[in-house]
Amino acid sequence: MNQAFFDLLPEAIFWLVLLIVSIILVKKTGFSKKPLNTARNSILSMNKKMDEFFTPDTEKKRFVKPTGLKVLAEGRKITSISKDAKKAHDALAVFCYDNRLNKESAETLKTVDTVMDLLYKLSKNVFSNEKDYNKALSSLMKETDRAVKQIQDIVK
Amino acid sequence: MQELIEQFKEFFSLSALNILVMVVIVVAGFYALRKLLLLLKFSLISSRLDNSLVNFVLTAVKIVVYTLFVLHCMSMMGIAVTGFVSAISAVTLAIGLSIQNVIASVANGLMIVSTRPFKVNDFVDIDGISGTVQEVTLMHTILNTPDNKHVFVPNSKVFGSQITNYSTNDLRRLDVLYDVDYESDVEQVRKILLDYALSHPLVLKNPAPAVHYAASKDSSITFTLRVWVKNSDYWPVNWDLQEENFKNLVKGGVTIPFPQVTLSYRSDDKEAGK
Repeated sequence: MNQAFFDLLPEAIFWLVLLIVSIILVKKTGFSKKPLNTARNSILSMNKKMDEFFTPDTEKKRFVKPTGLKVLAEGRKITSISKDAKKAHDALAVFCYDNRLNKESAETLKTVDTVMDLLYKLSKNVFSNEKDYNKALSSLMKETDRAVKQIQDIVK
Repeated sequence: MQELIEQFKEFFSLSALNILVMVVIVVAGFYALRKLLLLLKFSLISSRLDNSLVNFVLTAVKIVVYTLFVLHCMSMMGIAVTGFVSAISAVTLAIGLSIQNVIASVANGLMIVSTRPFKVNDFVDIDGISGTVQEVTLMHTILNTPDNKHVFVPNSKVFGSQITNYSTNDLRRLDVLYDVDYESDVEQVRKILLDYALSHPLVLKNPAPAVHYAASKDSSITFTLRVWVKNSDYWPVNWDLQEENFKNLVKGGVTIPFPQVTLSYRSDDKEAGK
């Protein structure tokens, strides 16, 4: 073994460690090489959760603006949906960046943006009366359905 | 001879090991940098920055990072990089000087994207050119004029000019001027102008329309009708108020004057004229 080898070894270890760390970090962000698939899966998961949380059976409940502990429960549901929405948004933003001429993906990104905005307002409990709260929830349902349709049209 | 062969063998085995480590450094470094740049791209995009800005930052960082890495690898392999660095500096300086206008446009483009005096689809007036913003590229701001012309305004000019953005506020005040004869009844004119403004479906009732006596000119009195409208209704309401109020004023017996000059002759002028 010569001296040059020992001089180079720490540097090789440094770059290898950096490579491993960067691979882990990229994986952790949840981005894949196919952002459209990530977006579709996140939107579908978001829609599924929405259906579970706000089923027609609980329709009467959801028309009542939550207070106290109910706010907490509703907040947790909304946080869970928001995570999916954020993931879908970021994946779509990456796809839109890579395919700037794709108008359909830009439209879907806009819809997901609206969903995120509504979720934010619901999570912050900004509505002063039940009517507005109710209106926001029904808009949320409609926008999510639209996002599902739009992403399915792109992916198929 | 045998000793020489042994020395060769030893040399190549040692060099092979060094080359292997170098290859590991180059390959691992290259992929690590690629992944880190990918992370930077994701974070820039998800932070909702403008695409042109993301593109510019990514390209700039890529060039700097890869150049430094290549220089580092060369120095690691024992190649003198001082000459390369000097050459790169000289070339960069030469390019920079020759394309300084382009660089100024790019820098201004970045300023526009980051300060956002307007966004896509806003109706703006830049240095006398009015139009809807189609796109902001690093070099140009592309406007679509109302008569459907595509105008490329250099960003250096955009940033140095006065910009009027008509789309920032939802409402606009529309001022329409009317000149009437000195013989006209002020209250009647006021009523005719106001009645039509209040009956127009696109004129907002709040803030309420108002008529003001604006000026006494050489041949006429000027009235200003001030109404508030939505941005999109500005021109249709303007044409309507101009035309319909002219008709209403004529119908109401109000005379619309034309410039008049009153000449008076002195008696000696009359005699001289004879």
